[in-house]
Amino acid sequence: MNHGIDQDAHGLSGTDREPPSITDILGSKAVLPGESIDEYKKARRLVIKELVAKSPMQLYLAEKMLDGLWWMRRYEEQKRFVIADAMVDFMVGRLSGKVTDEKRPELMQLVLNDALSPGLADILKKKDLTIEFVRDRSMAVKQEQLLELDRLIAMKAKELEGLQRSYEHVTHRKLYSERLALSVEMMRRDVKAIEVKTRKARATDHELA
Amino acid sequence: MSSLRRLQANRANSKLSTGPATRLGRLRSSRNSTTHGLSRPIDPVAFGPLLNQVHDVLLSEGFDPRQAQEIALKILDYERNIALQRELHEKRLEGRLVDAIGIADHVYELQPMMAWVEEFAVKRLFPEIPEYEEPLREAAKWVVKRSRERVSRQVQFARRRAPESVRYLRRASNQLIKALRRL
Repeated sequence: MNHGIDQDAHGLSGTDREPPSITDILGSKAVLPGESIDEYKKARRLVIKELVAKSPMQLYLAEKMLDGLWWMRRYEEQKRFVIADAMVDFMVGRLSGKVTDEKRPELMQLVLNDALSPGLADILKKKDLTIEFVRDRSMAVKQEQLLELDRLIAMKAKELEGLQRSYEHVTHRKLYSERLALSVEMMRRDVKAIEVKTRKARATDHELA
Repeated sequence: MSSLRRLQANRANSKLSTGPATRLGRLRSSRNSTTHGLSRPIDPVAFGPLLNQVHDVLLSEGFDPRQAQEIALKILDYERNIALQRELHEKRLEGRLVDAIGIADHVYELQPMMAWVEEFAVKRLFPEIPEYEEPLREAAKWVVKRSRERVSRQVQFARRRAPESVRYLRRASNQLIKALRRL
């Protein structure tokens, strides 16, 4: 996908504006609370521009492809969150007294940003722990949940592939139908030609007889 | 295995309840075991206005009416699956995949029984009046048992609902993709 096409998400000219799509009719929401609607809209414009989607069906499929990518990103984010949550659980459990439940949100933010303070790194070191060890343990504990999320990502990837093929099919539908009509016409002509040949051959046989 | 006495008591008790009598009550109880309703095909009457609008859009694009109807139905089916996924994902993020409100409602329903339990506790504190002790102990056991059952049902329901919904989403997306490729 060419991300360099649309530099300005809001500065679109009149010709760039998309017609209403099936999604508008259905009123389905693409983003969850806490996600950026502007980012989604920008990505939508990019995808539509990239695929040159014009008809409502093309627009719908382009949106669904973007939604697939969006869901994959969402699941990836959730994986990150699950690991971070388990890491915090482990640290709170192992470093009781040093790291209390009140510090949990702060610690969570640090783990999510992958930026542990030197103080906390020292505490971990005193307990003979490393952040890598904590991460490995957390991943082992949450293995089932992570596998489930991986399965969901794989499902979305497969769905995306199917939608892409459908998009191509819908886009070239007219071409396919014209090609089909032409081949039917050609077959009809061939059949007529064979009929003419057969009639001529019969006529010659009669004359000879 | 139940004893003969228990069997007879069950039979006698079952005659006391004849189930929902009104049409509305029967309709409500028919949905008791519904987990997500995704296995049911899209109802063209209930989804009528939306279906017609999508159908009209597809017709304007040059689809023939039969194809337009089929694809519109597949789109609506896919969308309802996606909507459930979104709802479940939101709940998962908020850590409320198990229906806490349902459990709380049930606990509220059990309030009168809880009063009995409280009385039982009082009797335990004042053993000089022992005549109600046995029935109250039974009542307390019943309350605990019913609450446990309810909570475990809720948890099982939530656990079953998420993977099943993924299966139905996969089915809906495959059907939509296949319908489009048949064009």
